Amino acid sequence: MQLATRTTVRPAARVSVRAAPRPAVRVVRARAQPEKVLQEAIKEAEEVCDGGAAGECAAAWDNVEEISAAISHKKANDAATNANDPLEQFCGDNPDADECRVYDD
Amino acid sequence: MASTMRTSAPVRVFTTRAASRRTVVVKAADEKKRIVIGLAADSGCGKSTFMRRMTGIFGGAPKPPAGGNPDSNTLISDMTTVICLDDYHSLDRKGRSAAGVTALDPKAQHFDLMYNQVKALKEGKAVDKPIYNHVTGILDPAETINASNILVIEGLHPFYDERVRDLCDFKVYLDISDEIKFAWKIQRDMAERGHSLDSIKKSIESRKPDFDAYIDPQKKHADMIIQVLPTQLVPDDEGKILRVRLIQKEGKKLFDPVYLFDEGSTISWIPCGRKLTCSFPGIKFYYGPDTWYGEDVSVLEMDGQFDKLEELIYVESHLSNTSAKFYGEITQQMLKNSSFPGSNNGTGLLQTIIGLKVREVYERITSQTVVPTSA
Repeated sequence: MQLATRTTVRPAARVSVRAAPRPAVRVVRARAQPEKVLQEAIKEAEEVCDGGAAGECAAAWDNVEEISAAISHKKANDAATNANDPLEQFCGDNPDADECRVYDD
Repeated sequence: MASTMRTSAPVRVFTTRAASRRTVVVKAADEKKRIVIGLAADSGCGKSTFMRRMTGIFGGAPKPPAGGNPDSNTLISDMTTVICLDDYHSLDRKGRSAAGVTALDPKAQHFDLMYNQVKALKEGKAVDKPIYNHVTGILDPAETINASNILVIEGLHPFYDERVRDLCDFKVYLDISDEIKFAWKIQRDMAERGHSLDSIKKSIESRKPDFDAYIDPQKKHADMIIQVLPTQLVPDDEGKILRVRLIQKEGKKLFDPVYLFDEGSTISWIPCGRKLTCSFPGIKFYYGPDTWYGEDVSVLEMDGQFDKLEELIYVESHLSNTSAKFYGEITQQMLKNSSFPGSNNGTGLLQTIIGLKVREVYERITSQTVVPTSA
């Protein structure tokens, strides 16, 4: 029985090892940098509101709100899915490591 | 000969009957009842927390569509699909800036597409829904959304268009007072670089005219409204202690309002005393009838915050018509999600109660029983 479970665990681990470029993809996604987008949007809103029409000013601040909301949603999601937990991250890539094995029975 | 004739004839009849039965079964699957829940609120008012509490009652963690756009706003679990109505923006961020309209303005929203797709999903068809990317501010290529038992549409305008409003079986509005909205946005944004107290203030002020004109009026259509107000127990500047009201429309076929002690009375209740020790400033409940835009409603209100679980089970045992399936279900749900914002005050409690009501609405419409999770 134990042998059987081991053989079912291993192929899954191999697949995730082969999918090694995953962390690289994560880094690329992080490069979108919503924080930088936010700073630019705030700067733009302040400039637009200095001389622009009321509608354009509201639209510019609305963009700021949208980006702020996106940042906080991402943080909440990461917290909910343990995306920032180093052990969870490691176990996502190495489900058969000693630290990560979970047997349901 | 005659005997073989006889045997062959009934067989024929049997096969045709079986075939007709099969088509009946397929039809029944097509006409399976699905429900649509609408949730309206401004951005940064806790829609996503509410979503997580509500979908948690039906079990399974909601996930974005597998293998799709990483910035998809959709969340799918076994029973529920949550779609964000920002995906129906007709103008992207650049388009709105050029036209000088905010996302709150109905001009920036594609209501015909919204209606058609929500209707198709309710009828059990799959749709190709656009994706509005909140980071880049552009409309990404569409994703395919399949029909689910419970479709939740959340966003700024779920009840603005009459056709979409009529598709909703249950309508919820999160009504956050200006003081609390300001306090929450400070908490949310102050840590971000670039944001200052001044920029948060300006952002709220400049969006307010559109909010008052297009978003706020939708609350009169809602079946249940969660109102979040500053506490009346102590002077509170930071919006940390909340007075939260659950306004429930009376006379609806699909749900019965929750009540405290005695239905229809007006009651003010402080649970703290000999049986329950509360820390400062304590907890205060109110229940009573009221009117909401000319309609009869029941109001259940909680002011203050919990420090320990005993307080919640003690409170739960005095509430009736909660739609809970077993004693302590509300407390169990709150415990399960104890890391979510609002878990120690009325927002979490009343959101959980609404989640149970959504389950009841689903059960009454489909006449199916939802087995409580982790029971």
